[in-house]
Amino acid sequence: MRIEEYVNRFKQKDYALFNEFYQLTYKKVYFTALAILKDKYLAEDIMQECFVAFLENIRSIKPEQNALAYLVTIARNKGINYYNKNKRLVLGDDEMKNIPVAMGDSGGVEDILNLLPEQTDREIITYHVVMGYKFKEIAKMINKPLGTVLWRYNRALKILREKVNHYE
Amino acid sequence: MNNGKIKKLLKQRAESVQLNKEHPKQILEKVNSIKHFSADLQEEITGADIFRVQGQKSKKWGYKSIIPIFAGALSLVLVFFTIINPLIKQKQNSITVAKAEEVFSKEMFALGNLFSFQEESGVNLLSFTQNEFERVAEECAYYLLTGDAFLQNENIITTVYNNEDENFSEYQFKAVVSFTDLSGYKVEYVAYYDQKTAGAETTILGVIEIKGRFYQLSGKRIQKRKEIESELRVYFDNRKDYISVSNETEVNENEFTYEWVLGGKVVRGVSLETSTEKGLKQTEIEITENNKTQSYEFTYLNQTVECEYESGNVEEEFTVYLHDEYYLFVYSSYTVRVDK
Repeated sequence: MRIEEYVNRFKQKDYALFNEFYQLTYKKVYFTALAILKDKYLAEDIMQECFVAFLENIRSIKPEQNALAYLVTIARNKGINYYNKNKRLVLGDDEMKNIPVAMGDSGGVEDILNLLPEQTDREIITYHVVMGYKFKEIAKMINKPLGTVLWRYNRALKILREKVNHYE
Repeated sequence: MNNGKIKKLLKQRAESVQLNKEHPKQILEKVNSIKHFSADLQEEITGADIFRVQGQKSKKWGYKSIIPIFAGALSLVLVFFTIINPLIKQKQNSITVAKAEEVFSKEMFALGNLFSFQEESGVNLLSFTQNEFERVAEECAYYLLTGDAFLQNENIITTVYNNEDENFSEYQFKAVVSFTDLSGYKVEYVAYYDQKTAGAETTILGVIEIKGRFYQLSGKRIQKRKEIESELRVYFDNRKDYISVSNETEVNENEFTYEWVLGGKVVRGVSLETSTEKGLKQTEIEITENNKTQSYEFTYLNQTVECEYESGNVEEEFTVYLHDEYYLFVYSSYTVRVDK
């Protein structure tokens, strides 16, 4: 079923297929929040809030709008808002640089992403490698020039290569 | 670990993420319990307009006018898609196989190999600290593949498209430059660029993909009667430093010059010249750095390359064995493997 069809049902308060929709979309929402907040538990909380907000505001979504992108945008904005309001609870970029990360089989995706000290780099790697967004889309999402996205992507990969090698 | 493995690791870890299975149920419970529209939602959904589904518009029409209008529109659409559109698409997406020199193919190939080796081996071209054998091997490996390709010019395949790649849709053209060496190892570089021609001068500006990484590039070609001068630059991530490769056909159409420009200064120069004499194919490279010059001469045989160079006042030689994924440099008492 296409996303638009789920949206039309939700607009009628028909949530019978919500679990199906959730399974199709939750990872994009979760990883978007994770790239910003760096903590998987916080990211899960924000992800839940995103879906609630999405359903609550479903009637304002126009037919020509991309509902999934809408959801991801909510996730990004909620993540940034949470980070700005609760900076003392979320580890800052400088603090992250000094924390050793245990790799190996038990390391999750957040362990790898958290090797990148800067939020923009984590977002670009998450959106392109994990979620499959194209660079041009990413440039619009994070409001940065395409050239900046490209060179930061290259730099982030280089950092990950060095740090992952160090811990393997 | 290379870029491909990093990306694969990330995707694998992402696939294995498992969240609380109660989330969908908890979400619906919250939705059903909320009675008032949240005041801060507007702020959170700002910006979602960016991702409009293209080509869809919503309009309101009177019911009675819908059917004839729809029928008329449908017939026009059918005519368009079955007859006209394929003709337009055929013209717009036309694939042209251009001559290598017309799209800076040799230059793209030369710089692609250099960046590729530097990236994968992690070797800093300007600071070798290994022993003499390793230093020479890693230095020469960059140029072996390039020299091989230039000697087999006809095997550098270039295909130019009208660019339809969404990632770089702002660029007009897409060029794919590929070469397969004698061992079967295939190299391919893709560039997206705009091209402008003003009189005898042609310039290009765009990006080039080298083993999954993207670099900005610029090029210029000037035609002077029977002479052609060309230069292509590929920029490092800081977009200020670059490596350029240039060629002047008046001097020697088989000689290419590399320059490393860091901080606005040329810190290293390399000339690469290929020749075929009495059936014997050769490549000579000359490296200049810190006012010192070092030359290497390669002679290509069937599956090996013989090399001679001077170290101090002593003439040295070694043999390079060509394998699918690597070169094996064999000295009299030492062997070095350099991955392609």
